[in-house]
Amino acid sequence: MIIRFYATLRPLVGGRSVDLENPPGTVAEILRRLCDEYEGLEGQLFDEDGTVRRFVAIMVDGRDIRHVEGLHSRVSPDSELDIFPPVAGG
Amino acid sequence: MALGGFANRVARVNLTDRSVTYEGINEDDARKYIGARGLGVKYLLDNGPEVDPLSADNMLALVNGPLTGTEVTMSGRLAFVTKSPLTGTVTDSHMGGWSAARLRWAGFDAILITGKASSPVYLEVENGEVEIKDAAHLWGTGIHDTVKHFRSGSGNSTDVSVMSIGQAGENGVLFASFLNEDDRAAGRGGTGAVAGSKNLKCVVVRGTRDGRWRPEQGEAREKFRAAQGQHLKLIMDSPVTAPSSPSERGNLASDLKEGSGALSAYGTNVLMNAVNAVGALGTKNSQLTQTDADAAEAVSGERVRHGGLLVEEPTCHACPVACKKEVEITEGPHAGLKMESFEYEPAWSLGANCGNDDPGVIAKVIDQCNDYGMDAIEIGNAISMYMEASERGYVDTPLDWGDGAGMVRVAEEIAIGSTSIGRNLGLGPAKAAAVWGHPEISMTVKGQAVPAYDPRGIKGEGLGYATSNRGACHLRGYTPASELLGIPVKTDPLDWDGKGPLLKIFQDLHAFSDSLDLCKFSAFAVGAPEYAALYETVVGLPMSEEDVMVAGERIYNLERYYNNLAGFDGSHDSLPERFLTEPATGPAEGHVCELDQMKEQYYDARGWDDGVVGDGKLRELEIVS
Repeated sequence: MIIRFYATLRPLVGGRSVDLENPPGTVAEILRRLCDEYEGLEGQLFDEDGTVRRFVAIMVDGRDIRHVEGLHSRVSPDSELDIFPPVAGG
Repeated sequence: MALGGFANRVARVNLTDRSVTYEGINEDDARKYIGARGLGVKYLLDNGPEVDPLSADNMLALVNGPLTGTEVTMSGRLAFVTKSPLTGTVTDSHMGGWSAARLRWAGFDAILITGKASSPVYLEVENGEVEIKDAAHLWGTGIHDTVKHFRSGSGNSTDVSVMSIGQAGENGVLFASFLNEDDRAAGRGGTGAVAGSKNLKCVVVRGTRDGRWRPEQGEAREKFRAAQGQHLKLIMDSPVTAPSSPSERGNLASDLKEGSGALSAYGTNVLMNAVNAVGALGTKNSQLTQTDADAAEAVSGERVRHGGLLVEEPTCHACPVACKKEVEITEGPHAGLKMESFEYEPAWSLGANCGNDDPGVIAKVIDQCNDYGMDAIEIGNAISMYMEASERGYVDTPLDWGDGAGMVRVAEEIAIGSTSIGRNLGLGPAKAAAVWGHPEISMTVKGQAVPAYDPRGIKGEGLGYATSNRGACHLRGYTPASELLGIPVKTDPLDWDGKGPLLKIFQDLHAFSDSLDLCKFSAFAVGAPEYAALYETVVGLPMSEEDVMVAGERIYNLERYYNNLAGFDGSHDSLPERFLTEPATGPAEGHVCELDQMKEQYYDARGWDDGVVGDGKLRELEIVS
């Protein structure tokens, strides 16, 4: 599964995307594996209490998980995952 | 005059009889309408809402806010207010840089320009005086050379600001802009066309920090320090605006300081991939709502920073965020071009919307806009409309999607008016499409082209475009702050319900900050409490959080009142049919924009009757007595 990262998250994972083999079934499980692998990523994505940091956008097939089932959102092997730090402009 | 922050000096310039008179700020108006945008619209209303925008009777008002040029963070904005020749509405367009601060330091709150000079002129502003001078030798000159002309003749060029039009304004392009210092634009609404119609080439301002407002000693100073300190702290700590650190700017390409805000690090164009990911990136004149991910990436903020294009990160007066991104193109026909700034809006309008993924072409056309003086959102829409007209066989001389060389050529033809296609597109995409007999392919509201958020994928923006008092605009009420980011709360971009009241909050808050005049990006870190505290400690009048919202509402209604008097009503609060009936593609697949439902909620929240402000609301807000 290709997981795409953006903006200030890219230096943490060393590039534009990560190819995750045998991805687990929920967003929470995927993020756990990613945070274990990439130093500094957890602090950018999660608060100390384990909730996703305010303004971080995690999208499964273009839908922000805040509008589906949050970290429990299911992900299929052919899903696309996009992870954004707080981004805004005008 | 007891109000702090103001210079209490306004120049009225009549170019017809070449007279300049001076007056103070009307204190009652300043209390009600704050400054900049709000006060500017009041000057326009007093000048009469029925004037022909390109006649001598129209007013071009350059107006500062009470915070302009102070040490308040992000206080470097200047409002250009006029009746727009593009839309027929009142419009205000704001530029960054240092012109606003220097105008205040030169002793002015506002320059109000009416009349028409018999030959080209410019205004020289210094030490509380305005002189009208001959500009015949500058007519026909681009903005870059005009700036160079004045800076090379100045003893201390860093104290000079040149706000100028280019050939587009001289030639009557209806979306011609004013720019200062080569690249900071009052982009929207055709302020440059109004100047051109008056034979006004530029406004040259000399001002030094000696002229800036400072708090009095003692308690007032301490209160101001506390308000500014809190304002600055929130901006420095925000995950959006936190500076990527000046010390890091020598190392542009790779490492970023931990905690860098994405807006500071990547500029506004950090939005390119995000808006595309949710399926709200208008593509090929908004026939699609998502482009290929690689095409978006190719012109994104990430590409600019990490792909070897970024060379400098300039900033504006009193701003640590430094969202401007100067690039140098390294390959292709535009190799060697250095320009500022590679922003999200033109990167979209000239990118996905034109089927183009070449950053060199985008940089080139933005630079043309900076030199000829044109709105880079409008020109991208004009070209994309032309491309769709070509695809559908509506024109004899077609332009293909993604034809970069053709885009550069057409941009010049528009500015110079050298071809019939160029002259037609210079009317703006709405009028041009109508001339070709196909108004349905113009993505415009009240004659002004839509920005970079497709209203089928971010629905609050659809309502925002429709009800904007200056024609389609993302900045009147920036609902993507809520729909993408989550300020003040996260709302679903695909859900229309509740967007009416939400939009009103954003519109009112932005009307206030535009009147201070603070950069709108401050709203990613601060809000009404901080704006109130700054106003109170600078101007010296009580201002609560609630007062901020009421003043913003008053200003928004003042603009609407002007437009109502100019002939606008709810029928003009519309969207192109495409957004209402042609379903989105990508993640928003199947969605259209439910404008009618949102408008009903919105008018309820506003207390308007079909887009018209009633007498009761005008009295309630003290717009009329």
